[in-house]
Amino acid sequence: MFYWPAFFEAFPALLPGLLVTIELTVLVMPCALIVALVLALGRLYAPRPLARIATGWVEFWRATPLLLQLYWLYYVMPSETGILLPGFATVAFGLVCNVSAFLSENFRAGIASIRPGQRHAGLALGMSERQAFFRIVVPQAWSRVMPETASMWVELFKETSLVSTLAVADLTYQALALRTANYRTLEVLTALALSYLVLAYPQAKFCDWLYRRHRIRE
Amino acid sequence: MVDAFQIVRANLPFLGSALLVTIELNIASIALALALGTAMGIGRVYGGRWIDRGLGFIIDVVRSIPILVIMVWVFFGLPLLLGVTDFPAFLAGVLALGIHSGAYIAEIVRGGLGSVRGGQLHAALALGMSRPQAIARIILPQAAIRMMPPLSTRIVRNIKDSVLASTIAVQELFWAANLLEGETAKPFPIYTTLMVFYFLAIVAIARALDRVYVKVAVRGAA
Repeated sequence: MFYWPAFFEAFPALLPGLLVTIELTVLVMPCALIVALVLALGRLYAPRPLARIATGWVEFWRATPLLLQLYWLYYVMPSETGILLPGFATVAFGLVCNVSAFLSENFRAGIASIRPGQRHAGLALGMSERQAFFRIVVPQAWSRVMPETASMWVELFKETSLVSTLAVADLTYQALALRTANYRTLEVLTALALSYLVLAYPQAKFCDWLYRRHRIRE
Repeated sequence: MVDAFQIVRANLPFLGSALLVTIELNIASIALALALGTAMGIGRVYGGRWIDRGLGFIIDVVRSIPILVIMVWVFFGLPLLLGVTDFPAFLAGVLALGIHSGAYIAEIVRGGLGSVRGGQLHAALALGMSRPQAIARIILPQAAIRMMPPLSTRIVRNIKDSVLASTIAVQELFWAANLLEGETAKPFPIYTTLMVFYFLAIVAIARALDRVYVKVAVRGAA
């Protein structure tokens, strides 16, 4: 039933795809972190109309399926605006928008969870607004926000598999292509699942450890 | 441009029947996920050390594999492993989504059960209840209310993930939209309509679940 040689031979064929998956994750995450921080600060401190717009933007990206978002960018954006980006850039852009929306919600909640008294205490000690924010609020918010941010990274790593539906040659794409080439469906798809597992499992365990370490004690 | 959406209106019955498949897919997979998740969550908390470890490993494995990969594996791979032909795509979609969401729900259930103080179980046992009775009647109802916010997040997530069933040719809403786009080459009206629809539906469902929680939250307070 299970033809082991086809299973082992699949891994070298998947390697180029794995590199694309890693490339995409490593590229998207830092961009998403920056966008998320801007969105979170905008929602918390910007004038109301601007904060509203930021909230609406975040809600939109959080409340629609990622695959649909990627399809919309991939098919509608070029046909309506004439902007024709390469597939990789399109999906990277979509992933940044999606991931930053989730991250910004996390950041916003983290910053908002620090009681106002903390900021007031900082101000009372003669700190400026900026000093109180960066020296008092951010360090405390960080330990609340960090575990969730780490698991978003793992989430992103897995979510990149959706780009295979838009002809970006990631890990999943290579496996599906190999499957149609050699018809060793079960072996190739099992190798694919195992590849994700081996890479994501330690990351997920690391996240669990972070959660345990930074458990909130009020 | 004025009537770009004509194409959507003309195909409303087709999209409507696909929406029905989306709804069925979600109800079936969420039901499966809740059943699996509750069983595994209870197993982890009350099943002793080895069951806890075994289930923990299975849950972590499922959570480490992307849902798309689980979906294609269940649809294309599993029938070969079992020697089954004519494996229905809908069933594969339900299984994949149910197992995937079930693994996450198991962790939610575990956390919820763990949040009910030990004294509650002791009190129930002292009143002469058996252990399963105490868990089912005393612990679980209290835990269930506390589990609601993360559960509703997971249910919403399941709905969003269900569009991936289109990749294994489950004839749900996103599959229908892709078919229509392929026939007409009009991505703008089709995908935009779908986007607006999903946005409104998901926001409405999330709000409704939230409202239910607000009503019952007091009863779950420790």
